[in-house]
Amino acid sequence: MIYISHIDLDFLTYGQKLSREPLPRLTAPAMEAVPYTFVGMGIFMTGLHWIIRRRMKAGEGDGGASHSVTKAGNLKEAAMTTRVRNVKLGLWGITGLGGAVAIMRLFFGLGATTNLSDGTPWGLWIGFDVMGGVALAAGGFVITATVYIFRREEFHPIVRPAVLTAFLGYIAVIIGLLFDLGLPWNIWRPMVKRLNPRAQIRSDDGLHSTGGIWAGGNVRCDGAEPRNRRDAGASRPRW
Amino acid sequence: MKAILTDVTHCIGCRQCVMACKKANELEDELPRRWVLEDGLSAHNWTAVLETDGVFVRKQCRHCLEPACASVCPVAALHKHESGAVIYDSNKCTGCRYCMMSCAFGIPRYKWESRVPTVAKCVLCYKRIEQGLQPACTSTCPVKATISGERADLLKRHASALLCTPIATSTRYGANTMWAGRR
Repeated sequence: MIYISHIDLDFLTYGQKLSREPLPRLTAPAMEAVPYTFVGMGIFMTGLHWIIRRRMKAGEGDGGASHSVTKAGNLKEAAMTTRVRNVKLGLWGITGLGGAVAIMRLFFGLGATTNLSDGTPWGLWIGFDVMGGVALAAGGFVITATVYIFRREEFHPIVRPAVLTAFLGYIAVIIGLLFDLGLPWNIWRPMVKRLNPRAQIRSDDGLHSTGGIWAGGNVRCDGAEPRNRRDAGASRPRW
Repeated sequence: MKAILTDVTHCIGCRQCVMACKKANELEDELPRRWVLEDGLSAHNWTAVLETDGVFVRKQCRHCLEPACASVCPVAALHKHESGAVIYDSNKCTGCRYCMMSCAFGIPRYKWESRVPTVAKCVLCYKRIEQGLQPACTSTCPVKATISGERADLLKRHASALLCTPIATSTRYGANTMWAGRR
């Protein structure tokens, strides 16, 4: 597209002054660095793991790291006070409202339910669903890495809740994304189409969430073991 | 590779290009105002004529040489066609609206009213080009303010206006889109 004009046409652009370089060229260096960063981080983490393990082995002579696994406490269920019940009622109300809006989106489209527009194609909606959910999920990965790669056993007790939170976070992302995408049945395409680093990021995100959900599913099954076994103080299976 | 050249100094603001575009691409009626921007572009309106200080400027997809929308699309639903058009394939699209966020000109628009919403933008009438025709907008322009042709030809023919004017030639965004002053 070529213009001949006697006035400045910068107002035609989308709110910002244009650079002389095309945008893909500005982001290309970062995008090209993605595969190297990915592999480099893997090597770095493995090396770190190796060093830490060697150090721990060397320190085992003088007492070693304290290895504490909390016993399954016999947590008494909290009494359902009126306040708790009210809060739960409120939360269920919000959930119901969300469900109703989600169903409305299927019938009337995104514009009618989200108040997004051509001016704000991504809004609070994306901020909450993607950023909130992924942030929750990231915590699970960080804690698991801390315990199982960096061998900080003192964080072992919070692995389970962290992975459960990650699981719920990923579920939130995926459910949110399915309603947010215009054509959700094409969601598998980025995972098989590795044309550019961005697609790769997204497909890794898919693998990530699959892993997260798998791990989270394990937590759930693990927690559902028979109550009497837990009460008898049987040691929990390590997972 | 085809391109469109718009001479702002010739445009009389008759908006025949807008109507021709709507007809040629079988676009539907306008969306409610709450979902569209004030510039007149929307999923059902791929070109618009803006007016500033009595000057009419046509707004449409630039069909960039290095399109940001195609660069960010995770499923390659947008790509640069051999005719020079940046075209869109709704069979691949997931509807994530990344292209809308990335376009520096704010060109791709969304069908907010639809329950299976897709992106929509000017496709340079690439099907007409394949048949040997001109894009609908340039073929109707009564004063030839907007013309189409081979990009290299256009640049050569208007080199004097584009490069030799006293006002500095202002290229933005690489060679993707350029405009030049003319007194």
